[in-house]
Amino acid sequence: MTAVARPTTPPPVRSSRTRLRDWSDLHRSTTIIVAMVIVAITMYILPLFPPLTFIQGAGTWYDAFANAGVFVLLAMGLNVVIGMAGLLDLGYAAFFAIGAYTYAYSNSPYSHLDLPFFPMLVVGAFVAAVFGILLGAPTLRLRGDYLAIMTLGFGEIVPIVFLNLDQYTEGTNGIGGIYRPEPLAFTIPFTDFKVFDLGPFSAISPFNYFVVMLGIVTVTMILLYRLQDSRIGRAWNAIREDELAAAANGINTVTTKLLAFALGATTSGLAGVFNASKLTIVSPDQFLFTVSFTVLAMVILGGMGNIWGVAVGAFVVYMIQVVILKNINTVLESIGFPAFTIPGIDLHVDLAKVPFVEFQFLLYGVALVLMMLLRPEGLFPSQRRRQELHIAEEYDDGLGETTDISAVLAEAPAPERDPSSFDLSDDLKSDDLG
Amino acid sequence: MTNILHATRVTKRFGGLIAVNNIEFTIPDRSIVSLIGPNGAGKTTFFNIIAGIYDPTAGHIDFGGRPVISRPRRAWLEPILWLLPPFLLAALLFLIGGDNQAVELAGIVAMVSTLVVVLLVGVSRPPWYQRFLIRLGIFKSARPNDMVVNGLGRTFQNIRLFQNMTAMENVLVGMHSRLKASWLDALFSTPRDRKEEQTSRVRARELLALVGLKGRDDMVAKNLPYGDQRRLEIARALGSNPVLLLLDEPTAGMNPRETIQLTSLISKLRNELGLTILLIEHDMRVVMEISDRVTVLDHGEKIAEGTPDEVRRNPKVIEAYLGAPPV
Repeated sequence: MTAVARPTTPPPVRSSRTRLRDWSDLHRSTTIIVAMVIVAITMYILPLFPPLTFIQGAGTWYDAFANAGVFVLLAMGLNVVIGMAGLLDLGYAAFFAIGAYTYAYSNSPYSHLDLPFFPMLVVGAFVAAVFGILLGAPTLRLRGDYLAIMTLGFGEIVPIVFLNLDQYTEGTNGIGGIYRPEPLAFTIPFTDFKVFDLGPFSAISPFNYFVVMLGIVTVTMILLYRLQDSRIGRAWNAIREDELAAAANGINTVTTKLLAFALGATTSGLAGVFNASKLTIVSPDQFLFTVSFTVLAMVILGGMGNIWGVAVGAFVVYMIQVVILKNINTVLESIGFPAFTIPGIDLHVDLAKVPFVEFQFLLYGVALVLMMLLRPEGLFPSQRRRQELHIAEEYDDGLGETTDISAVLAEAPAPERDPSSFDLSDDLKSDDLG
Repeated sequence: MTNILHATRVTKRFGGLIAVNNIEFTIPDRSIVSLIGPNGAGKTTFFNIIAGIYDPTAGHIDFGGRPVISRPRRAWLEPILWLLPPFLLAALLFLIGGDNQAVELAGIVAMVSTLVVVLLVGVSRPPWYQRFLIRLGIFKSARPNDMVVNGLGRTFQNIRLFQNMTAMENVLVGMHSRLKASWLDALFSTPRDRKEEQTSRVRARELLALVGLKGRDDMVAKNLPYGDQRRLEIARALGSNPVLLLLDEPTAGMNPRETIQLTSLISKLRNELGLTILLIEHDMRVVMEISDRVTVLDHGEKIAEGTPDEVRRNPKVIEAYLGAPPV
């Protein structure tokens, strides 16, 4: 074999940054917990001080953070389906709806049930998983576009079913008056001492929701990272790269894809339960295609396949959408941003009066187009995606250093290959036809 | 010597094209058998039938003494079998329920859960379910992943590595079917999962060293030189501890030195690991050097079979490769 002449032992130069990265790879869960504690403290402190207080009050900020958490969960779940297993799911909001309606049944005057919130988180997620399996088992043999159309259909059907099954779901009105979760406070036995006493959950004090959401996101993130690094995560990746080769290497592609689908649905159901308990009302119009689309856009913008990247992407997109676009007019007005006229074409511009909220989807579209052109792997891509999308730019020689490919090629004798052995029609699998 | 694989009158048609016609084929245990023939002779199709990618149009294949591949029988019955329990349940509840809303809800829940259980069983196909199907006269060929579990490893004619995964990860994917940790183990990071992950990494490193890729564990597959990619594919196939290894043109595009190395690797696999090897190869030096037996295909038919020397002297083979002699 004509190997590139290179030193047998790589020089042991390891920056503190690589050492930190190696440590965090070894202790994933600890790293996530530490990171989330830092994030939580930052999120707690920042809204108390200017400039964030100019925009809205601290309580409103916490409320927005908790709502953003719902989308972070959704994006992380969709990332399992799209980013890890490579299945395009366009009807993801359906599972969100199923989780939400499950909680609505178990905790509202409508059904006269008042089941505890935390167990219902698990139950709602489980019910969503069941529907994920029901949809996935017959359809996951389909590939690419066909699967996308199937899931799109499912995503459309579910809200319509909830809308028309008014005997059970009150139709358009939805199920209202859903009970809020019981207080977090936990009394230590035989004492009067209470832990986690943050008062009751309510609309005016959303801090409790914020705390619970941080907990859910942390746990989900730890579990998803564990899956990604496991045998199952490798199998998903193999299926995403080459399904036939994965099957020929002993991966049961159907069950593995089904697992990804069901786990995505589970995370979505979890988010649905939380969302229902926070909004205290569920109705079919909360789960339209726009939700699926928004989450998909978040996953793509955040960096498909990278769990924390997707989470940050979802958070940022939600914040832009709900906080910045909503408040930009008020802020512009309050600082007295002057209306101006563009000379020459005589266009009168008053930014304070532009309805930015209505331009939401226009802005999404522009952002997505720009993203695909400039940075198709997303804002925070996983190592793997970066390799896939930038083929020749990097040549990782396995020594942890990136070198210029032209230098390496000049140094190495070109591997001798028979041009006929390269089959360019790989996707047509012409070799399989004998 | 027992036969590890026995193909009986296997035929495969693609529309009007008969790719493989009525082939009898056996692979004795611990032997190296080669399959040669001009391009388009049906070698790879036959390979893919053995690997479970295609169902044959006729005939069947026994692997390790069990019939595993043949044309599906009564396959249409299976979906009916899946839908039957929920339907029966629905009928039952309809009979006893009337218009009691509680019974109606309970019925829906019961139906959905039965359907989910049945679908899960049908998709994951545990052994008892397969025995049950055979008792009902339903037969479905083993799929590629079932064949790997049965003990078959394969490489592809044009390399199909997982390009963006490292060499180590590629081998670990190859070991997938032999690892026991489930997704729940991974979720809760059980000791079993962690231990298995460590031992499998050690084993993967051994396999990489065996095929001559020592120290290249962390290189991304697509950055490996061509010859190394071929070898990595063999290491990946070895990951599942196969009994029978199918190699599809392993030396294609290699220079003479690499070819010699690979030939010795193949003999080593047989002599030291006790593998049986089925080889498709165009390089006659390799074929004649290591094969115990050679089978020649042409236009989907078997035209000759025997030891390398016999095949070399067979006039039909010479004709297939060089054309008919002038009269």
